[in-house]
Amino acid sequence: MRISRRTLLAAGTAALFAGKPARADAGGRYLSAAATFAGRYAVVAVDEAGEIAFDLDVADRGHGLAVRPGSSEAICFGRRPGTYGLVLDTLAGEVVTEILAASSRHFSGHGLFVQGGDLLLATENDEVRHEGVIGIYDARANYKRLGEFPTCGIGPHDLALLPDGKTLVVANGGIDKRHDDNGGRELSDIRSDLVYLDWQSQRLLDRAVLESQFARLSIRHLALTEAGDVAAALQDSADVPDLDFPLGFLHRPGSAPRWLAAPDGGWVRLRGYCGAAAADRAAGLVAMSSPRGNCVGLWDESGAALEALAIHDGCGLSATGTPGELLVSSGSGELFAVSRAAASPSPRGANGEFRFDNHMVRI
Amino acid sequence: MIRAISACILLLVATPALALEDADYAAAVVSTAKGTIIPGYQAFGYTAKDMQARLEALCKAPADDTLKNAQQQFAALTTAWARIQYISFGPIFEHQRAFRIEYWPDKRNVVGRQLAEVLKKQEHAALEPERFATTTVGVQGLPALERMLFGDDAISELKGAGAAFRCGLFAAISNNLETIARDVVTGWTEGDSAFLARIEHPSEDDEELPSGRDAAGRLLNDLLTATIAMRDMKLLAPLGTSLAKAKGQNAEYWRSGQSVAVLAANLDGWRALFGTDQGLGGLLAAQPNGKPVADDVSAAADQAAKALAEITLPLDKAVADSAQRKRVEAFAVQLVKLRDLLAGPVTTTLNLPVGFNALDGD
Repeated sequence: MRISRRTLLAAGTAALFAGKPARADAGGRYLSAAATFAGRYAVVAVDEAGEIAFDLDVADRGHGLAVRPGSSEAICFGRRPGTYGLVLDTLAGEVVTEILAASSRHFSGHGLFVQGGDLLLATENDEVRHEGVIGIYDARANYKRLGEFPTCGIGPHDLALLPDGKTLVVANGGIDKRHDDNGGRELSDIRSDLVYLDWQSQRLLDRAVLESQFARLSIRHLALTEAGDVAAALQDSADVPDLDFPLGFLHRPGSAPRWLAAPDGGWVRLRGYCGAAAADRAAGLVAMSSPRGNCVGLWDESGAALEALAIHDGCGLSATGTPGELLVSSGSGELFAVSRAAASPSPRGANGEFRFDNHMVRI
Repeated sequence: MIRAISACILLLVATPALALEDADYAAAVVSTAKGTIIPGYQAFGYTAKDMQARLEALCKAPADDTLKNAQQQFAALTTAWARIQYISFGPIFEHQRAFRIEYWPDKRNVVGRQLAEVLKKQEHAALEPERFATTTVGVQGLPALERMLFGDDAISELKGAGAAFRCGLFAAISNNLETIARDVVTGWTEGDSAFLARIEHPSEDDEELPSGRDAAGRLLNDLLTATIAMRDMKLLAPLGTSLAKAKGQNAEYWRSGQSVAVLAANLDGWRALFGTDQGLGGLLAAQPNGKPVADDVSAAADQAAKALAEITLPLDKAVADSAQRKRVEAFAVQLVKLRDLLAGPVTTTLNLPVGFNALDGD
């Protein structure tokens, strides 16, 4: 073996492919994990017209992103089981630092900042005890790892911070590396739930589980609505999904999950798989994408289905500066705007170099 | 645990909704691998070996005729690669092999900068095969060779002080390309974990290829990517937004004038990789209601080939010519039709999840 892809990239990527300089203006930009059509992985900033503002190479496929409040920093996590969190400066288009997963931990692909941007919380997996944990990092001290606390579940994935600033809601996907390593999945062993944790006291506040018939659904991605609900996007973990299973619900602590209404044409349109969730809080909209169903669904905050729009391999979702209009990125490298009023997605542009991965955040 | 998984597989196969069995998928990919993919890498390897001989002849007697011979062989090398360029799975994915063969697009002039640096340093030890294979990707492959063979100073440089090093670099690149091709073929065919054997006998323990359906998904995904990448990277990038904003130098191989020939080889390779009687195309035609879809794909590929044949100038010039530009655009339209057929009816009929995000979710 002459060079392993990972070591070569880790050692010399920055020198090999120096990033394109960032432009001076920074309005209406989004950050996304991406891959070139030839298969090189990157984090890219893209404007609403679909033009790439800058790109930074990463060693492995990226996944979720978080923006640090009060600074120009953001972080992109490696895809589960992730080994890195790349901290970048979104104005300069440069790498700030890279966090590596702690020993016998791997990143689950998502994280967020708390305490005004001072601390970073990341969903991680304890590979020894097979339990989910939240890793705590000090963004003021070069992202030094301060410690961790349990997510009280298996395979945590996405997370969100409630408006009180201290309640963390975490989607325990119920699937961890053991399931992945087995290729096929022991469906009876999937235990997904939604937990509410106080990140300061590190205590479990509430737990929501699905009715037993839907137990094999994996709760993976979250968004917060203006009304105060958590919107959760699900995936059917079975090899042959039941295409009529619901894939999205709304929840608030102390109550039972409320399923979103099936989109026009039925849940079958989402092919048993939601890839991302977003809320347009200004317009009271919830959006969920299904790259497998080549479709993005919109709901209002009561859970009533509005539109289900066709977008090939569309997955990344973000609210925009325009209330009522969300942006969708696709695996073909295209951006589309979707809105409640529009009958079809409006193409914004294709960059021709990068495919957009699962998630996109506004910077 | 193993028994439970096996039971699960049996269940899947027995599900009446799935007309296709996993072995059908595996067989389709195996036939394409044996008939097109592996022979494609072999052909690229032979062509690289011949390239080596012609570069030696050029170095021995730098002149118009020996240069022309080498340039013709370079053209053959680019088309041999183009036929299988869009296969992204298997041994070609390891060790950055695809990038080492062709680092493109190269918007930041990585190749130019790295080549200039290597030529300036004149470090002969860096050309030793093991070390060369781990050197910067920009100097290892076709784009570096193209610059040295198609520059105005191609012959004069071979008569100057740096000639010996330049010829050493020629040998290093052509040898490197041949070695990559040989290693890829070996990876597909030899040893206990030969990639072909893994597709033939899928195992749940194989994370990358747990089933024949996964392998078929990879192949179909690459075919879909090819239609998108040919259009977006090879056509739209040089076309720019208007005639006045055409960017000819975004065309692939504009220095050697190979842009259109390479697209023809891409398309030709695409048809072989899709297959008609065998492969995914054959599998498609054998499905209930699949024949008309297979015929549509075949007709769309014919139309695309016809549209491409209408482009009679190299792409960098065609995009700057108002009449030819329209033909480039017409070819791009045909590629979209091919893409939509693949992403829609083909994917549905073959029951394959396709797309960057769709295929491999998290």
